[in-house]
Amino acid sequence: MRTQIQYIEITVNGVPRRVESNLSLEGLVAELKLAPRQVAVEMNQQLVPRRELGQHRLRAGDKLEIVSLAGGG
Amino acid sequence: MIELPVARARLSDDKPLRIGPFALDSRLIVGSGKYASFEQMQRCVELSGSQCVTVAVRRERLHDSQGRNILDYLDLEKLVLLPNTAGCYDAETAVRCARMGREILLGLENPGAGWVKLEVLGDQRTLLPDPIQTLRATELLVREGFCVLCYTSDDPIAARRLKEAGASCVMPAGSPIGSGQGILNHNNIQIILEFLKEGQPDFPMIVDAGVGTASDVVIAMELGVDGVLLNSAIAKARQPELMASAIGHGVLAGRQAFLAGRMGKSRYASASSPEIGVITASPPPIVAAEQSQLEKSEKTA
Repeated sequence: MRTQIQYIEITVNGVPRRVESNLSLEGLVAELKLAPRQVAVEMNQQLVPRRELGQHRLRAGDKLEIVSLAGGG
Repeated sequence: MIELPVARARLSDDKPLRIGPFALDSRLIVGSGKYASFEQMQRCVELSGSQCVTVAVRRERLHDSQGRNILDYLDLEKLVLLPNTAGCYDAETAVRCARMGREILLGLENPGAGWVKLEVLGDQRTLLPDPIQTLRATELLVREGFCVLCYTSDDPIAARRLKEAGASCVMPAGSPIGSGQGILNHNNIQIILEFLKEGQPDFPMIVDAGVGTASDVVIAMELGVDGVLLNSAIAKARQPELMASAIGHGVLAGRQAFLAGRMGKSRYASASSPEIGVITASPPPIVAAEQSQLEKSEKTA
């Protein structure tokens, strides 16, 4: 019997998103097709260092900020 | 297309600009925003002679609408990036922003990881800094090991408090961000210089915000500030590349003038040519009516 994929709702940059439950932050960055070296990830207002992205699993209700550099003064 | 000169990074007889652990040859820091294109930004940075470029930290926007990345237009080998906390209105958000900027620069292996241009704003229309939140954010960031460059108003007391709180550099605004009015209160800028350099003549002070054109930069440097930070003055000029070159040279001219030591000012004149040896003054010219009168009297004599 096939196991059903579970999905959870998180928020990324203020926008709701459905992701597979147990997805890691590293997996999410890859899913978003982002270059890990060019972004910073904050989960529930706590910065997660790049080397630890693989260790954090997403849970329902998690609020993420994924940022990069932009032009500015 | 005319050949534009590239402003040399440093005067050979001057020290570098030192901010915390950083030493920069160019005393100009430029922003990367408001340009018509990334290519223009890249050219302007180069023409200005600047070695340090500020960047903002924003929600994932790795590519512009044409799918390009600002990082492709900033030479990370030659430039030090300085992340800002623009758009933050409270200390906690600014601290989070600074941490994220540091994390990205660590990933990019740029030496700018660990320093931050701290901006904590108090009002959306004026973009004036919130002095209380700026001070609080400075304390928090210094505790986390950041090298903090504080954007502040031209209030000397606020500037002094930020230095006391551990800021590595204090950056008073000449006038509101993007307003192009130059230094509005020269008196305060000079007082801030005195306050910040008391007992520590090498403590860096940079005029940041409101710079509009090359003469504003020259004036700031002639006052004795250690550097100038600007963005709109170049990006919003009619010809940004030409202005970038002008401003790069302006920083050098102003710094040279400051190091040279200007002449004093006086109320009265002081002739530049010697006063002795002037030839005898010529007789005043005679008008026509007087001439015929003179000839008449000579005939009758």
